[in-house]
Amino acid sequence: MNAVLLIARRELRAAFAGLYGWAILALVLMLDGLFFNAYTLGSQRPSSEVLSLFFYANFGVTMAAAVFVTMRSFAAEREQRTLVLLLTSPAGDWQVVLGKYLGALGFVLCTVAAAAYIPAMVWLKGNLEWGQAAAGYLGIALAAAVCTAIGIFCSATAPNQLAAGVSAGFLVTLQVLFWLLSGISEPPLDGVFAAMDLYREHFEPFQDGAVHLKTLVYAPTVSFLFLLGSVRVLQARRWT
Amino acid sequence: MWGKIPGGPAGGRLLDGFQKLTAIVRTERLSKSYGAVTALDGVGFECKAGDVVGVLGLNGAGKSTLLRILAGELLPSGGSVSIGGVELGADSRAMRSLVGYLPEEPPLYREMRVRDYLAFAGALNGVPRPELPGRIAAVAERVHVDDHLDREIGELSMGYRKRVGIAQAILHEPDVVLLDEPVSSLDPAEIVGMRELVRSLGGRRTVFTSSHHLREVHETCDSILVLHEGALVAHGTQEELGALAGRMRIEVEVRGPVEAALSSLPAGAAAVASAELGGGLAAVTIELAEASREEVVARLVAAGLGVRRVEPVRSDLERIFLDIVSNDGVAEASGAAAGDAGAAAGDAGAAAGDAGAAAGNARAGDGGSGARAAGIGDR
Repeated sequence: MNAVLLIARRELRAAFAGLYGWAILALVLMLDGLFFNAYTLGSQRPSSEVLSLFFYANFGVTMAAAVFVTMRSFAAEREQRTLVLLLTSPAGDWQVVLGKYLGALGFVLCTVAAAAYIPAMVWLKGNLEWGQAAAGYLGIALAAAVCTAIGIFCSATAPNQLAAGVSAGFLVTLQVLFWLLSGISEPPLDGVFAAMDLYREHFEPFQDGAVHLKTLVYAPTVSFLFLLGSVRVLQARRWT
Repeated sequence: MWGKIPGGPAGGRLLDGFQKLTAIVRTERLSKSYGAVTALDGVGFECKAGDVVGVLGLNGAGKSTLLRILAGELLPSGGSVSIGGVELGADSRAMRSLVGYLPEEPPLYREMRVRDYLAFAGALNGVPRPELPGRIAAVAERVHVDDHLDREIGELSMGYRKRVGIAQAILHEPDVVLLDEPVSSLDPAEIVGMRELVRSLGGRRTVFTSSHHLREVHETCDSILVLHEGALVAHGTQEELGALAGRMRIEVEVRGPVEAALSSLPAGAAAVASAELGGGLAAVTIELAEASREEVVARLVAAGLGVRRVEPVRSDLERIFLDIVSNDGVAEASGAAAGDAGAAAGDAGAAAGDAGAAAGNARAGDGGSGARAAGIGDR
């Protein structure tokens, strides 16, 4: 089996093997349920608005889940001294990073799938727009891809899990606050910051059912850059 | 440089007959620095296939760093490493496929069952999936964890964890196995088992084992690398190291009176024990300080004594080790010339007849700057 898939499969199994993964999953379901209860239950909103609010809440919850999942990735293996198994195997550094990334992303997407009962309720009790649902989930997947890549990079860089979580939390939060920087910047920086904002510029249209090509380019590009950074960190550590 | 059979489990196997004749591990001017700290400094040596090589040194001598570089986990700051002719840096992934590595702390995922872990490690190292069950069963039996294959690793004792660690290191049948402190944290019974296991790994593959326990090295290793403050200060068999440390002892059996043998010894050689064997034979144990074996034999023959046997006497490894690491002058003196000038310490015939037989494993590394040792001086 390809080393990437092998590592990804082990990561995914490890996440479900311990209490940690289940705790994250429970937290995600609880937060999604609370937000859904607070924003939509009892209101007379149309189905499309209910779905948009669900994706809005799920976007934030998924970002947090990505941070919590990835903070263990490299940092925990380094602390437990198991990373050496991967680093001394014939697998290349790219394969190790990609395997860990796909495993973590797979778990994050499992948490997204676990909350699919909410759109299902909209479908049963309301008037679900399948196009909006598909676009919303595509947007969530792209945002998860970006946040997981950021988390993997921080985990590869940080000396321990706590530092990895804090730095990943900071960078992920920064991704959705670029619009603030945009507001206080002069051209052309304001445009650059606005284009980098993960929520307003890229995800918001998806939650309302619009798929933007620029986001389909933005998310893989940012993910690639952070994964490339992770590979460079692993390579640099072989020298130090 | 080395012939390969493509398609092997680890991406190619060395030709068995050829590898026996040539060095499988070679380092030249190998150095590694962590910032301002020099962990390895100009280390050069060669090891043949099938040897069990002990890596000795005090804490901080560079033992683990050397093994981590050989395993491909770290890249050297300078110099070169090749395993089976594959150069680290040029094709690091191919080189890593030839190596199995057990760090001091076994890299085990505690939540996994032993069987699943070995399957993961084997697949990661290129063992084809259909071969995995058979390989796992065979290796588990060999390291005596076959009764624990379905247990979680976190439930195992340290001894069994070490065994599982060794199993993952040999599962893909590497040409070189690196064991960093394999007996640390083990109880006496586990140490005995581990010693037998390490010994059994040699022959088909080259094994490097680092240890603080000199007895382990003494019991298990064919040759020894002595590192001190990052430099290789000696490399050879225990007898050869004894010679390097200035404590070479030989036992001579002669036909004639023991008094004649004792009185004919040259300056620089001292008898430390003697005995009449009966039948006109006598045995004398001689410590060589300045004189060579050839000189001793020549003097005995000149005294009219028949020399029947000349054998090196194994010295206590602890004493040899301490002599070497506390006496840089000896190591420095052996220097670059040691490899060419080294004399065999093991063969009595060679000792009696040949003046300068090759020193077996104890060849000088590269003789470059900073390569302070490797090999023994002629004696």
